Amino acid sequence: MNYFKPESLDEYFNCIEKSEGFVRPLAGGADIMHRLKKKFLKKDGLTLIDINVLSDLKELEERDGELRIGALTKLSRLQEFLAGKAGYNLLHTALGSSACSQIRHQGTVGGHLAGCLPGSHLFPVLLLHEARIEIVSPGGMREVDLDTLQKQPYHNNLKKNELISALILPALPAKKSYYWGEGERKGFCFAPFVLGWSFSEEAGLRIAGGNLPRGAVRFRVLEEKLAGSFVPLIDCLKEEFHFQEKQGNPLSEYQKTLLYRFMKVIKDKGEIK
Amino acid sequence: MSTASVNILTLNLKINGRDYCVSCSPDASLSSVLRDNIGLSGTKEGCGSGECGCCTVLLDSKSVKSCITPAFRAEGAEVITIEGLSSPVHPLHPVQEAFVEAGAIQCGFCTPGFVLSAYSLLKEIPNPDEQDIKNGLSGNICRCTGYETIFKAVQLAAEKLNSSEREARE
Repeated sequence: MNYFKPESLDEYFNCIEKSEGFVRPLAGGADIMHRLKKKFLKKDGLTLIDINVLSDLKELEERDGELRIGALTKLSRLQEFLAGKAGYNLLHTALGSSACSQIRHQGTVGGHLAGCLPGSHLFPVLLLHEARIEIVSPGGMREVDLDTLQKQPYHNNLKKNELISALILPALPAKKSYYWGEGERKGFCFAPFVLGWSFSEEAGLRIAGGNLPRGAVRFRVLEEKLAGSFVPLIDCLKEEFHFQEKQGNPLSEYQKTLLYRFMKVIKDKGEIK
Repeated sequence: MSTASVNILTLNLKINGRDYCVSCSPDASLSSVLRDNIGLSGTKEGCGSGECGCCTVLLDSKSVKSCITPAFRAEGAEVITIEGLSSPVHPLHPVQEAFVEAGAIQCGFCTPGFVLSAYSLLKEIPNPDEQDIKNGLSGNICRCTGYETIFKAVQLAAEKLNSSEREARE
């Protein structure tokens, strides 16, 4: 096992260039230590790059009505920052039920996103926000939609020389929003299903769920079918299930039942027809 | 540091107010360094993979699970373990006293983790309600007490800390 501690992004990319085998940037370290201990990651040929001193990745600021959250921002710091902030209360709630206080004190936003954790409480809510991520590489910086980051659980679409530098988070312009995680998440035990729903005149209806075979998704068929139409809820759901199955992302019977129950509660509240 | 690769790290750690210099591998956990290199065995290692919270310590006053914290993350930070909570003048911290008085200890293996999680929670929320306590301690597992006495102990600790703060102000 090799270890580097670069002091700037340039040094970081130098380390990446020098390294062979499996290279992992390390921020809070909880996820990597957990995987090493469980032997999901092999020590042989592993290079850890400690990025904690890269101060460029620690900024947390409001810019043009959006939040720019540096990748090294601790989850607990973000939770404190979002308390009482209009447009971010759903995310604040999701952060509060994400893992436990010890993990939130340790875990970083960038690590959480790059880890593509299947049971993440945050991913579905971030998809409702239509969040973007900022990626740096030796060639410069680019922004992509968050949903393009996930490849499959625990695997992202980043190239070897790319690093998440920030999460760009527009406010969720929702008059009404709900968040629901099935089961309590403790430590590394994942919630079987996490669902988020929001509605506003400007942004319309947004529905997202997490812990599917390919990670978190927006249920766009369901959103489209339910928006202003009179198609029965059960038929809208069937079309969404069918669509997800075709995408290689089938919901389990348990998840289908939970999504039905979630939507039924929203329907009974009179939020959808 | 530098961009030169290393296999063994030399770390300067500040633990319970004392400075230590230790050598360890890059993947060494903070709990293993505390227990094996420094001999602070009050920090327990239960599951060893971040589930049970027995290994909770404070890193810059924030609770973390030391079994999944790389030891090098503690460099430049102030680490407090269960041994660092008491002082020669006060052999037991008010949180520890509350645990004893409320009978929140049975086998005692998880107690250091619970005490430090409670300490961290009370720093953030001095007057927690029951839900705050449940959330604050959700990263710790106890297989003996059934949690009720632990929740009572945290309420008692909050009262003790608040009254001693009031007395100090007066």
